[in-house]
Amino acid sequence: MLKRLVALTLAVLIVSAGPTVFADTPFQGYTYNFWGTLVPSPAAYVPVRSFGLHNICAELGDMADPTDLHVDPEDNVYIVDWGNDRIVVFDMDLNLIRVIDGYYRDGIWVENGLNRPHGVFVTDDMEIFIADELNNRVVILKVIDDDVHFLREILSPEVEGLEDDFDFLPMNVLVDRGGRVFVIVRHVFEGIMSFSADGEFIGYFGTIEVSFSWIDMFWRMFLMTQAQIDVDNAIIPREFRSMDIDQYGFVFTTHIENWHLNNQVMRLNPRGEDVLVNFNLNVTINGDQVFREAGPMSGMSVFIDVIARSHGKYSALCSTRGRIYTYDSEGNLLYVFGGTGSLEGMTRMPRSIEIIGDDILLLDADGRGRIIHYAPTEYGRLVNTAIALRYDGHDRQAVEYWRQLVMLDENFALAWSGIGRSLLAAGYNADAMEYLRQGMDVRYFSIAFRRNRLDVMQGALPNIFTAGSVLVVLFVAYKIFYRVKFGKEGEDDV
Amino acid sequence: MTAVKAVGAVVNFLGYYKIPLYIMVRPFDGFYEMKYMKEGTLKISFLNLILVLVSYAINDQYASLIVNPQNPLTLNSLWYWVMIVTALILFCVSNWSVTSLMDGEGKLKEIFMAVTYAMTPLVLTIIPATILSNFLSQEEAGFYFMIMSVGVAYFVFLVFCGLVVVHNYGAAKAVLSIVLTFFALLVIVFLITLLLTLWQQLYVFGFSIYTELMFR
Repeated sequence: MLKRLVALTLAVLIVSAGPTVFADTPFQGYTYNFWGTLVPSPAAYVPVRSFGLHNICAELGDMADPTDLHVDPEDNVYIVDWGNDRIVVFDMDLNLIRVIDGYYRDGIWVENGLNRPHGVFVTDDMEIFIADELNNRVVILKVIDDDVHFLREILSPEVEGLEDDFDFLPMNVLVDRGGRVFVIVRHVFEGIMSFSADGEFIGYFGTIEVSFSWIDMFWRMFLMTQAQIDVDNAIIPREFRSMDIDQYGFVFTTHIENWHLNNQVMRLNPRGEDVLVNFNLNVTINGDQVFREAGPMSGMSVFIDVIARSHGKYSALCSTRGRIYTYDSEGNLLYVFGGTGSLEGMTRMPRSIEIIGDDILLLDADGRGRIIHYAPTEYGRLVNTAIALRYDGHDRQAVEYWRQLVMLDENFALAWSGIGRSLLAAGYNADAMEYLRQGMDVRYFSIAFRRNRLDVMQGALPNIFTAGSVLVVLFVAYKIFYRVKFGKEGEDDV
Repeated sequence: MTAVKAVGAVVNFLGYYKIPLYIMVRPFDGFYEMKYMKEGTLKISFLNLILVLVSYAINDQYASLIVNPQNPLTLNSLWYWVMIVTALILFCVSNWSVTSLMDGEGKLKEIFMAVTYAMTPLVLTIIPATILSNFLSQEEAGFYFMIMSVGVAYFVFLVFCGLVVVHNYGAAKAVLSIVLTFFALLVIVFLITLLLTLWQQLYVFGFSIYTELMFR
């Protein structure tokens, strides 16, 4: 008997110690629930490879403080190698396509034509817009017959209101479908500078409103001396950091934000108004809601780059902790991945992110410089699919994916509310209430509740009315019976 | 026989509860009877206080998701209770200390009684509102908040009446005394904080001496 028991135990041990296959990640996935509390979740993306320029071509050497990463419509990757005054173009199979460090201008080759390029954008016509920082211009190049040709340039605008010693230092450039050119310029607080297709200055785009508190006002008006005010932080709008354009022509931007309850991401419509949607009451589009105040990796998230993704999603890169936060079109935090550290797949100096298909590339400027390639896991793919179906209004098809997601991660509120909403649409109001409560979807819970209340009332009211009318009839019958038997004496007595 | 006696005692005790109810209808007469006719008792005060604490706990736990999106993991009625009782004690003590300098006639006990007797509207609104909230959707949630705020507003009004009667004040002086009460409250909180900080410093000092001696 004892022998058998031992054998059985051993068998169980051996089976359970068998080859468990799981993707090990150097970071822990998490998200925030309705109340802004951190809840763990499976990793949505995992690093699959990381490579530097030396992996593409040994002669390229190392990157020197690269600043921007861009993927053009033909899925070629552009690295802006700021310190080496060049832009390296390669494809995802790591074949070098070209190095842009000069161009033909009027048939004459200009060697070292770029001086500290900071950002790059490629239009659908394959015109390459480069924010050429220390040349004080945005230069537009085009590849014709495998040679880089100069098309035109956008120089410092002649605008009233700019100081005389104004230095036009473009950081980032973006072109919308109408050919409008948006340029983020260093030390320009009025907004993003926008130019027409032929380089005319149009105006400022997406100005950030200045926010100040009454306490600040009070201090400045009554208590502080002029000298103190001079050294205090000036009350000016924050600078933009980065931008990207989505499929509808809306511009996503990030800016430096010093108050942890404000959104750091804006979605600007063509008129330059912020139309970012966030239905969450307690969670802002600001990365981490909970963070250490001091020590390593402390402080609020600082979004230095944002990319628009399919179906209203967008991802933002945080430089404090090197994490990438992905939100859906309603402002729900879907997943967080990445992190700072020295492990494979972690970053030291994250600079920029880009999307290629559903994969994400991250540019890390640390040391020799490298690119980390993140690919979605099973979980991440499920989230992406379900969000896409939900965004397109296919709630019923999405349910299948939500159910799988609940199996993988029962903390994922969107999955619960997704199932709840589809149950609601199908008319299962009482069940929908339970699921929506799990997902803390108060808006839809209220709708489900109201419908369920109506159901209950419609079920119960006929019975109540029947019982009531039976009682009334009995009472009247009793009264009549009483009168017939005893005449009207009963009333006379009163 | 003892059972009958016990029931009798309870009925007798609850007989006193007609004063809080009377206060709701005729505040000035009610508080007058509470103070000068010796109709008020501390037992009823504590009963009212406990009823309020229990109602708030029930409200926290059972009000519907729509009006009360509480995180069940952080729900803590005890903490709520500590806050309410601390606020009550602070208010009574600071009001007493202010009014005794302003010719107020109320004793600490009477102030406490006035405030707790004035809590009857809370007792009468919170639980019905909580029950009602479970039958309301988001659009109708206004009714819940209306009932709750009417309760609180009436409570504040009754506290004011109670203080007027207890201290034998006119309206203007009562308002002034309440404003000063809040200042006194701030002073008390400040002193407590100061005391705690100093005590903590003293403790750290003592503890470092102790560690120094231990390591020597």
